[in-house]
Amino acid sequence: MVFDSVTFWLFFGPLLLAWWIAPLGVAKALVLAGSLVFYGWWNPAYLPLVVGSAVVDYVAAGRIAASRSDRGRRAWLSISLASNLGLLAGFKYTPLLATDLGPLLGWQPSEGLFDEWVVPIGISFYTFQTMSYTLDVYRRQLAPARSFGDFLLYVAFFPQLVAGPIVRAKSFLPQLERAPRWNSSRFELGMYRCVEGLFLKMVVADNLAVVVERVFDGDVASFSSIAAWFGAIAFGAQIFADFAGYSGIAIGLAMMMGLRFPENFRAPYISAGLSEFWTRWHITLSSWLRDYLYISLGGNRGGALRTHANLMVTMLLGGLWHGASWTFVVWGGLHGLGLSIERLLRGKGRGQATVGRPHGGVACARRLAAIVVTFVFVHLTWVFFRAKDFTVAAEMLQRMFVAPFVGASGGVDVSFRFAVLLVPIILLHGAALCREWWGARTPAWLRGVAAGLMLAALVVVRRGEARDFVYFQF
Amino acid sequence: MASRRRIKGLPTALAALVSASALAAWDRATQDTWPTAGLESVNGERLLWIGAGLGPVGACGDLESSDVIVVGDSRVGHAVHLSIAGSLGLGRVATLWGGGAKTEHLLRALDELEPRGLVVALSALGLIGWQNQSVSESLRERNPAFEPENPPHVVGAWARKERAHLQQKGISEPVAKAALEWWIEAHRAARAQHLGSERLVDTDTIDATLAHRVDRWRTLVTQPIEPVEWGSAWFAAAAPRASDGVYRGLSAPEKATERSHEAERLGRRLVELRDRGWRIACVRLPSDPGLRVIEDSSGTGALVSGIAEGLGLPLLDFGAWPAAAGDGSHLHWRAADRVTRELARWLRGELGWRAP
Repeated sequence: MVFDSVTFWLFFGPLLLAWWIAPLGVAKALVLAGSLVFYGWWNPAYLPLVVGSAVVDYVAAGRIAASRSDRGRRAWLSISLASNLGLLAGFKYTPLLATDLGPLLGWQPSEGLFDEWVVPIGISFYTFQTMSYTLDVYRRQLAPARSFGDFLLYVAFFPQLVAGPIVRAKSFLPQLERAPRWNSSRFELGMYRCVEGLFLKMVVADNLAVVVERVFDGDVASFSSIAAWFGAIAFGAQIFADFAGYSGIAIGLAMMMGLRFPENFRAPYISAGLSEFWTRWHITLSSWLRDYLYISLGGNRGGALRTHANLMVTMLLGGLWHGASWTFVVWGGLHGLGLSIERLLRGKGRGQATVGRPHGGVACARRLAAIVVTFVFVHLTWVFFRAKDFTVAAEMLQRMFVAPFVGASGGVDVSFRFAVLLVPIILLHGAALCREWWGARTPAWLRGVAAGLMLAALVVVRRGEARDFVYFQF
Repeated sequence: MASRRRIKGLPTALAALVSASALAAWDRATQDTWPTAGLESVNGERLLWIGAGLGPVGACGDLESSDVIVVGDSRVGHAVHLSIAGSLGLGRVATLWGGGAKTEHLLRALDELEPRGLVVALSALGLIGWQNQSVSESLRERNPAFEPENPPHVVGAWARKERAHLQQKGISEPVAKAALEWWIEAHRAARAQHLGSERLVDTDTIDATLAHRVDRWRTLVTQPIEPVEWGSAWFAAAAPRASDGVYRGLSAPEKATERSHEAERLGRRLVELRDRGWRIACVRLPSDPGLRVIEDSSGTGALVSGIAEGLGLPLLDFGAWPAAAGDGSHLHWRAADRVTRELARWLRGELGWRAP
């Protein structure tokens, strides 16, 4: 089931009512059942994976907490990590390994063998979520869940099950221990977040996909440089609108149920540096990678060289998490490289803090320049993220960076009318900038007007083709 | 500092008011002036292989159990709402159409059927039918890969080999690619339906049915827009020109003799069907004024109308409808709604066709 379907909202309405009027135990059981129906709507054959993963980690965490020896604790943690990573790797990376490594081992898979290979939706998210639970228990930062029902609800909770945000058990499990308190303002805010999320996904992202597909999946070499740039920027806008839209709906649904989810996006394209970008983009993933991978590798505690290596490994694996393709690895590697360079510059005092409003013309100009440089770099790396292979990526970069300088910038254009779809994203980022620099808050009535316009747009603007949420493929 | 009193429910009330006002204003401003999308069939179709040496066409509804079949080029796929047609007293309605297909070829699919009502959408493109014909007559065989039981990679493998073969036969790359992609997509839809029908609960069909209902409601209460159309138009319909690729052949004087011969062949085919007991009516679907000019100025319009007149068959000519089609040819939903109702009214009221 997907948020942008009629089916979902017919499903959610009665479930929401039941959540608020039923006693807590019954309400949780109903929402758990609903969550399993939500996931099984796609394909019930893969439900045992979600439940099985939850069983393994619930048992493992219990044993970790009960174990008196470090060896025992490590053994149970290893079981949890092995089962989750094994599940993830097995489903996600088998085709890549088979097609790339198979020939090296003397086996050539036949063409099209993996065309119908299924990667269970949400596997990248719920395995990371349950691993964070066992790791927190291992680190003694969290007591194991008392109730398997609550734990399974945490894992399978439908708003965040298939595409995040990656919610930490220590923030969510306590919320399930008592009945939520009704707050009409939060409920209204939740509805607003849902409308905004649907608008970003169905009106902005799905229609930007048209121009993105035309550029990236067409004859790239025939496009003009401006069209190539427009395609890259359109993709940056599409993936933001799609993913932030989905996260917004998930957060809004939780709000309507009186629960809190962490924010996952914070106007990432006003970042004045890559470090800042990763505190604004897919925040729950970047904090997961920081807390459970980067810090586990040693973080910045092993000297400069070790720090850069840890950063690189974290970003490379972060890239690989996104998809079973070497282009994702290169995308992650470029970000790792960028972060390392930024760290070196900051370390020598050439960087500057980017928190709050810059004071003075020079500081302002520097901040704006940093925002532009970060924007360009991020969109350059998006080319690798979106291109289906390195040939397409190379052709795109050639059109974007080389062709204008060698007098070969002519070519086919795309319809630039789609640029109007960038306006909502610009407005969102502008509002965030005003909030951060001047403390300006969006009044409730303005939110109501915006919601009304977005609702009207949802009715008027028709998608040619319903597209999966981009992060479903991860 | 004075505290602000927050009016409970104000944002929600404002949202409702603003959205209703915005929709009303939009509808008023764009009434019959905004050419909305029509480039996908409103009914969903399955592939039908109509004969040896001919490629697949689209069949919507159940041809065998139907009471009325509407036949024609791709415009038929967009112009006839089956869900509406079936409720207007004609009985069960089905459509048979092919992108740029020759009407005379399509009629071969009816050879095995018992006589019933037949509505033939006469068009200039249906006479020459260059696109589907040139591709379909080059296919080496109907390929069992297209059975929905087969996974996509089987069809993909066939398409890769067939594409090379089509290009060897002189079919241009864009035409070959477009035709193969349409067939692969239709196979994918048929396979999804097949897999869904084998599940305990066919969730895909439930989703699609609900989405279709909401989409239909949307096209009736407002003028929806589809940004994919922004590639060719903004606040104006795309007006087909005689120099446009698809329509170039329609107006080419050197094809006049071929068009006459094809018209005669189509006429003979219709006579055969009529002699077998088929009730036949003809229709010229509405199109953009620009397309009408192309058809009529080349004499093709008179030629297709002449088929009906020459055989004494009833003809309903919808004429030119401005802003009824995003590309000038394939009707958007609201226009299709109107065409379906007017066609049904004519068949029932003027010709006396009734559901059995």
